[in-house]
Amino acid sequence: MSYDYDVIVVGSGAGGGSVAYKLTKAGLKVALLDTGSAYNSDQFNRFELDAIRKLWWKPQWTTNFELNGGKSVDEINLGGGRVVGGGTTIFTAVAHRAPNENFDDWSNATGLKNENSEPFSYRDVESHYDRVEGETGVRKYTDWDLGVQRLKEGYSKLGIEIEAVNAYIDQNCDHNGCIFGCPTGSKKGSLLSYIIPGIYDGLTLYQNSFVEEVLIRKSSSGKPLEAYGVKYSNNGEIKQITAKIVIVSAGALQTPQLLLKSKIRELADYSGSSMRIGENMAVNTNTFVFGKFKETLNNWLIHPLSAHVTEFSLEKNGGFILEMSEIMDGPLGFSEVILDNDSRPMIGKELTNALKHYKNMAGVLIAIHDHNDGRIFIDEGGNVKYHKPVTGSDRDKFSRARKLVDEAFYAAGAEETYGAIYISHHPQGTCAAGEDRNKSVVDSNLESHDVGRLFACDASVFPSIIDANPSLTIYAMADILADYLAKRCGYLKPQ
Amino acid sequence: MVTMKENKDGAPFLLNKEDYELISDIAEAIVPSGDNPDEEPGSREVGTINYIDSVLLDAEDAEMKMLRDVLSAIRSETRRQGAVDFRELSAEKKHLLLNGLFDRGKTKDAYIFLRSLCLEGFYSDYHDPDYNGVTAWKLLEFGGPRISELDKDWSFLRIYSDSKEKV
Ligand SMILES: Cc1cc2nc3c(=O)[nH]c(=O)nc-3n(C[C@H](O)[C@H](O)[C@H](O)COP(=O)(O)OP(=O)(O)OC[C@H]3O[C@@H](n4cnc5c(N)ncnc54)[C@H](O)[C@@H]3O)c2cc1C
Repeated sequence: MSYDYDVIVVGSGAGGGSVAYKLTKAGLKVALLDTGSAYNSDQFNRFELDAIRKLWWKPQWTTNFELNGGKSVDEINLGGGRVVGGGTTIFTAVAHRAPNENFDDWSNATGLKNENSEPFSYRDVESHYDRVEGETGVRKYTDWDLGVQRLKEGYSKLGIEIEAVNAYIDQNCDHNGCIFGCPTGSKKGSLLSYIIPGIYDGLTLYQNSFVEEVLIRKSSSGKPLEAYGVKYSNNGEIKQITAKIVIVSAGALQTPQLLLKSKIRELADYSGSSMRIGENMAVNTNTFVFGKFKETLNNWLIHPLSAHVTEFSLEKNGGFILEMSEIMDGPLGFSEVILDNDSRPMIGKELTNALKHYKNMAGVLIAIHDHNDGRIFIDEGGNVKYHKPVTGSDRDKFSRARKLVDEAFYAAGAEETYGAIYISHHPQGTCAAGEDRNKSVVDSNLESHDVGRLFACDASVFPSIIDANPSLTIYAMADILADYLAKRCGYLKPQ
Repeated sequence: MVTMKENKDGAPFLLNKEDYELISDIAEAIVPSGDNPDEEPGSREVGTINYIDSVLLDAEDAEMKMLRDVLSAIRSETRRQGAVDFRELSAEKKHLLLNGLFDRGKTKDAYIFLRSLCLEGFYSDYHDPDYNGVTAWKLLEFGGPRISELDKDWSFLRIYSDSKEKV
């Protein structure tokens, strides 16, 4: 059979954008499809509502009320990018490596192996982290705003040091709204670091193209099934393209949905690995604490996350990371997340009064080490559902972190603090990689256990939760996959 | 002030008159005006309801269903409290009623959807095309480079594209 492309990549976020670029660089003919549109830096601006409409998925919520006897407690708002560049077009650009321990957890969770069939460890990812940090221009971000400076004073009174984060941001940052797209191009997401250079090298980008299904057929060699293309919709028309391999990088929320819609479970006769699609979800549940100061901080004129406290990040040390200062970059987002004292979304005079002090607010993001106990599934009516319990141990982490953050705020001179809803921008683990077929969806080379020539490359492949913002680790995993596909994998060798 | 432009049902675009009025009252409960509405406008002054009526033209079926469900829950809860109209309830009772929708798993998503629409129709800096008063960004002093001089393109909203056509 002749194919349209060597490789089709579905989704242009951290995983998809970077793997597509690297395979193009390796001389392969690559198509990159994304349901979102591509924008130039000068098309991004501070019109919050418009940015949310154009660049973000509509918000989804976990529906834990079914687990909680009909009462809606502890549900999590799941947000992400539906735009070329995926989450990295709207992310806050914190670029951190996951700690060694997380990779030991990976090999223990699913039997993930390195290329020598040894248990996967930090050593296997280290050189890829080095390479990716070079490609994306990671630097220490030391330009702190007033909110962070105040918080630094507060933490230091408690004996806690805060550090500058590493970020994919160059010196041209003019402190204007990361999460609505970077208007200066100083933030280096997948679009600027990989997709645009890739297009110059021959990568074909299909924007506004929603992949409905991976095309799968019976195979006479290797695995009984193989992928050979995708069916996608563009401007209301359904089209199809073919390739020797298909890489699904639609993100940890969408990748399992696409695999389920492609009927892998049915085709693989409900194999153990196909039953793991959508299981094992961790989301690094986040919340915010906002502190109101007397002075005007104008904390929206900042790079939102420029400093962090990591000494509590490992489970054994507390299981949470604090990052700051974040007040959602605009009043609309702030009004959406702020809670009243009874932990309900704020409304009425209380809301308008709090918002009047938006200019006096600083904020701390709390991200916890939660567990891979969530799942994505499609119910009988065809609706996508997300279950993710916020467990007693999660709540303990939040309350310890909240206490610490409150103390830091008050020590820094804040007059009042406010809580926020649970949020996640870091879903992961929903198509885990590993050798144990009853615990993973793809193998250690990120190829589906059930379907040959079908790979996954995004946050969904993390076997267990990591204690760092995910993008750098996704980039590193994409780098490992690109090396494997270009150098060792038989599918792409010239016939 | 919210002006009800007449069409066959009495509301500008999509909503019928009853829903238009009820959502308008809910928006006022969520983002109320201050004591001096000229200086401290709320959803009523800027016309949040007209934002909602316009933006709903692009809503998905599932979103319209959520909206119908939450409005019907609000109506039945209002009646349960012995009132005919949500508007008649005291500010405190409105508050309790809305919070109750959040607490119940079955109405929570729909309530959050409705609350988001109300917030969008105010804190996005929305105002009706013919409103020249203070808007949210000014009220909150939300400004600075790339913000204060921003020329927002509202043309995705029918109320704005219609008013441009008239110009
Ligand atoms: C507001 C925000 C702030 C963040 N801040 C940070 C941070 O500071 N540091 C950090 O490391 N991480 C951060 N993250 C998380 C980070 O952006 C994600 O972890 C990362 O982008 C995930 O990469 P991915 O490849 O898994 O998927 P994504 O980046 O989500 O990319 C998936 C892509 O697939 C496309 N897609 C989905 N389904 C289909 C389909 N069926 N057909 C075609 N296209 C499809 C989507 O449009 C999207 O572009 C943040 C995220 C958000 C939302």
